[in-house]
Amino acid sequence: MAKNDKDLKIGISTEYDGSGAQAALADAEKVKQANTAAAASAPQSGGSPAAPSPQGGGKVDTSGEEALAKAKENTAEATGKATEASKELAAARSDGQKATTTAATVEKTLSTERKATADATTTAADAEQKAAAEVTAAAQQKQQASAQNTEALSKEQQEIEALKAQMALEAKGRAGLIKELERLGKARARAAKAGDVQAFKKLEAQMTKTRAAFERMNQGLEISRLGMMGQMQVAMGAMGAIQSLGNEVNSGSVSLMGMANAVYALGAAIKAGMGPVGWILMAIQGLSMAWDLYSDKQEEAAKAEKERMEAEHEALKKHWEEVEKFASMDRENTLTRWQKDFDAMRQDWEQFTQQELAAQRSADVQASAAEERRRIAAQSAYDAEVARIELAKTMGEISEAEAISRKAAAEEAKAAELQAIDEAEAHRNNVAHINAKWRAKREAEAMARALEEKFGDFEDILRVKMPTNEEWEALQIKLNEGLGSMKEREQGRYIHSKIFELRQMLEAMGIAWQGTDAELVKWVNSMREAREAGEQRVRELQAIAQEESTAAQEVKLANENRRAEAQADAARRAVARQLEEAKLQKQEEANRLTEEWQQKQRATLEEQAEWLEQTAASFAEGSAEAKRWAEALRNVKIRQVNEELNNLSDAYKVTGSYAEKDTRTQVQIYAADEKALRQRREALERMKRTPDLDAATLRSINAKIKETDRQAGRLRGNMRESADAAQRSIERLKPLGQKARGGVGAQAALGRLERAYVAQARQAERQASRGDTRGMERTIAAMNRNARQQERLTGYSGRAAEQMRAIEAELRVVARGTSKSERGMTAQQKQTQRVQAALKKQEAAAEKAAKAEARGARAKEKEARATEKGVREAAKRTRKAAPKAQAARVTGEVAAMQSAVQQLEAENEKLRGELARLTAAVERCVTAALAGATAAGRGAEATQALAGQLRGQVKVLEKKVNIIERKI
Amino acid sequence: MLNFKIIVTGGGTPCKWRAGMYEQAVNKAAANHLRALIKQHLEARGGRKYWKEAADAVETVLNESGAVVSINHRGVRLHFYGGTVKPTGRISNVTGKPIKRLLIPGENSPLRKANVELYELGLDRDAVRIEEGKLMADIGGVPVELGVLAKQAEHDPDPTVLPKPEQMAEALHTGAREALEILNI
Repeated sequence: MAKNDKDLKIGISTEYDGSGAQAALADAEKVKQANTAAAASAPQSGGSPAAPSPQGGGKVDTSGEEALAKAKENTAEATGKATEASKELAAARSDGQKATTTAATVEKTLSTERKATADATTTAADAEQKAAAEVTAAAQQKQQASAQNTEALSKEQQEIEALKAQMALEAKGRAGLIKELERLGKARARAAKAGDVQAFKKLEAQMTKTRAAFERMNQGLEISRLGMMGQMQVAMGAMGAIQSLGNEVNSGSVSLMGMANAVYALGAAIKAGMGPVGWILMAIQGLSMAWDLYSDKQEEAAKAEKERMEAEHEALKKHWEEVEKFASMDRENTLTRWQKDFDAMRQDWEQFTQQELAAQRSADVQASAAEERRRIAAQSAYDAEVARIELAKTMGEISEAEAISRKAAAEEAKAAELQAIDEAEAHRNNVAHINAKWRAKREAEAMARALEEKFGDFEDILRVKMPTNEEWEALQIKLNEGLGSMKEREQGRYIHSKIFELRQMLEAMGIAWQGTDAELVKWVNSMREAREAGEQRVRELQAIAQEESTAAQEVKLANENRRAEAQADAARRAVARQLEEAKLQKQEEANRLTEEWQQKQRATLEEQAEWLEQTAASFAEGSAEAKRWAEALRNVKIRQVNEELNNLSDAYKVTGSYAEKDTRTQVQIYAADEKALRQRREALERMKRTPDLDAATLRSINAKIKETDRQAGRLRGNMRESADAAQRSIERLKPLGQKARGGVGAQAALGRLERAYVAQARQAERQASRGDTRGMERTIAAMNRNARQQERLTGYSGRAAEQMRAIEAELRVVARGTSKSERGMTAQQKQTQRVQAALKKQEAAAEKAAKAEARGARAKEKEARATEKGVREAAKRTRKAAPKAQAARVTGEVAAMQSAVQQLEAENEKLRGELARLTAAVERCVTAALAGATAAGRGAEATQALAGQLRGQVKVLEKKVNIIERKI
Repeated sequence: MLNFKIIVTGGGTPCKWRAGMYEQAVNKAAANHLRALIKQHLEARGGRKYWKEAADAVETVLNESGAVVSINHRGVRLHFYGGTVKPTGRISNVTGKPIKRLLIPGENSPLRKANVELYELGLDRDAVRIEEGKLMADIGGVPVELGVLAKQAEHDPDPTVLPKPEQMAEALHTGAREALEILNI
């Protein structure tokens, strides 16, 4: 297995990518540039691209106010020129279009369409079924017509599904739909406030569907109701919705999208409520119904209304035939065109508004994000600058006053930056607000144009010139008069004549009336009502214009806001001015602080310079004093050295008296002498090392040293001599030991001789008793030889005793004098050991001899107690006891000598160490004194130089201060 | 070694980042979150003992270059990366000779049940025998299969040993965000 299969590692590391802050700064710069550009171009272009005009009314490149004024003018002109335009249009279309279409197809399609929609309102289920059937039929037709076009089919399917969804919505009922719409509107307002684009779009689509369903239902209701006032009420309701929506838009609670949708709803409502059918019915049916019913919005009333509506619907069905008969004029083409135009306009508006709003929203989001980044960058830059200033202040690079001023500058820069960002944001918001207002106004304008066109269409359809108010009044008066007099007078002729007048009038107006007289009267009345309704419509249009003027007022308010902002700018400028003053005050404060600091600095430097001058002077004095002291010290030293030299004794032998000599060994005497000489030599050398000695003292010291060396040489010669003497004595001891050993042999021989002498004496007695004379003479001769030999041996023994005394003397000499050197000591010790060994052997030999002598003496006492030899033996014994005691004494002497030598060595070592320490201490003292004197001299010079430098600095500072003062 | 890099962008206080004050804190928090995630993941893998031990062996170490989360358990790396296992040739405690084959214990093997090695069963060379590539032993008079002998064993890589990279990245992100919130950036 692999070695590293034990652990599975996952590494983590972190980095900071600082490019974000740079990007934020770059964005902020871009936004700043863009804002300045926008601010520059805003007054000319109104801050918004020119919208496509649905009526081809020309591009609007002016500002909001100008556009509003133009819209007003357009509306006024539209209402004013309506009759003229319709006249011209009627003339043109009566020429061109009448011939190109057939009335039959128009009536047919119209009747089927209206029937279908009318049926749809009876019940939701029926409507759903019917519509589905219709749609499926249409889809089947389309499929048959273009079977290969699958895409179209799928579109159809989608439409079917959409329609089904609409039907499902419609099934909720009117009140349910209203509630649903309210709920969706609130949710959409919330989404718009939250800025959730997706939710907003979703709710928008849902709301559009619901509203479409609502409109469908309304359409059916209106058609079934067939009341002019009801239709007008629908239109008024739509107007109210627009008005409330406009208010909401102006207050900013609802976006422009909602406004656009409301406008579409309005268009749809007008289409449904005041469509051509409504106008035609208005002209035919009269205006007596449904105001109170429709105005009652409660559900109970609605139910009752529904029942009544159904009854009316039945009546309506019966009446449709008449309507279709009446509608036999050439208007199908016009209706279709109007419908198509309106739809196209609505689509264009929807598309454009959605695109523009999306672009606007994304641009807003980006701009606000960039502004936020820019704010953060400004704050970061300010923090960094403050940290830098604090650091510099801490490091002492700048003064506190300068730090305050720089901080104030940084704060000011940050405030200016933030203010610039705020202004840019306010400007952007303002531009967006004005754009919204302008767009709302333009939409209202477009709707007014659409209504105008519809009026024109209506007139076109009727192919009549709407009578003026005066004419209507005249007609009414005539009618009233006619009717009143008809009651009073006979009916037939009068009414006939009046109706005849009416017919003539109508003919004069270009209307050929073919119905009965009663219908004519009814028609006239209805036309009057229609006129009133038209005027009402115009009033409502004027209300729209009023709305627009409200929008204009909003713009005006925006301008006032601008003025308020200008005032705020002024206030800001005032604050900036105050800040400037505060800055100036701060600057003055900083200047004052700087000046004070400089003065303080100058005073401090002057004080320092003064102090340094004083110090330099005192140092100079101290230096002279030190020199004097050094001279005096030298003299004192020389005097001390001389005194010491004079007090030094010339004697080199320490031990003077004999008593002292007796108590000390020769070695101790020599050691004491040598110590004294060495001490003297060291003292002399120390004196010689004394610095700055005069020549005479040095000479005397050298002489003394020479003398001491000479004495030491003599002492060493003596010691060497005594050591040599000891050596010589030890050399002499060697044969002495050998002789002593020979002496021991002599004793043995003497013993043998004595024993032989005793045996010879016994032999001589035996020979004498036997009478052997010759043998006895030989034996006596041998006895005599033996006796002579014994005498010789005894004499030798006496010489040995003398030799031992000589040894004692020599050893005493050895004990007294020896070489000081260690080698000599070792040799001496060795010799001493050898001597001790020799003495021990000698002692052992002596003991043996003593024992043998004792044995010989005991043998001799038995036989020759009376003989003279016995006496000599006793004398010999006393003599032989002497070497033993002498040996013991020599041994003790040698041990004492050794211990004394060791003691001397230790003392010597100790003294040597003390001497070295003392010498070093004296040297250090002298060196320090000399260094002190030198340093004192140098310090005086350095102080003078420093004082000179400081004087120069003070002069430079004075110059600077003068310059600053002049500047101030 | 897998490597993750956390890049912190945007505004904030760049000078502190430049001084390297926050990286270690972010690394630590992220590594702790990752360790918790891996531990949970390993414990959830099931098994009798192995993955629980592996979960206990997850460690976090901070070093100069960042943080390291390591699973110090024998075989985890092999499981993750896959690979071929061969005998090391060390001296066997049973035979006294270099090991030439791997012994892979089966499900019912006493080696696996007791989680011990062969020599720990107390069987000597004469007590075991090889039959058809399997190592057999008589325990209590019953022949028992100790395991299959193989020249080598190959393991496929198993990426499910670690959590998914998205999960790990999310854990790291959470930890980093937590650290940044605590640091109040």
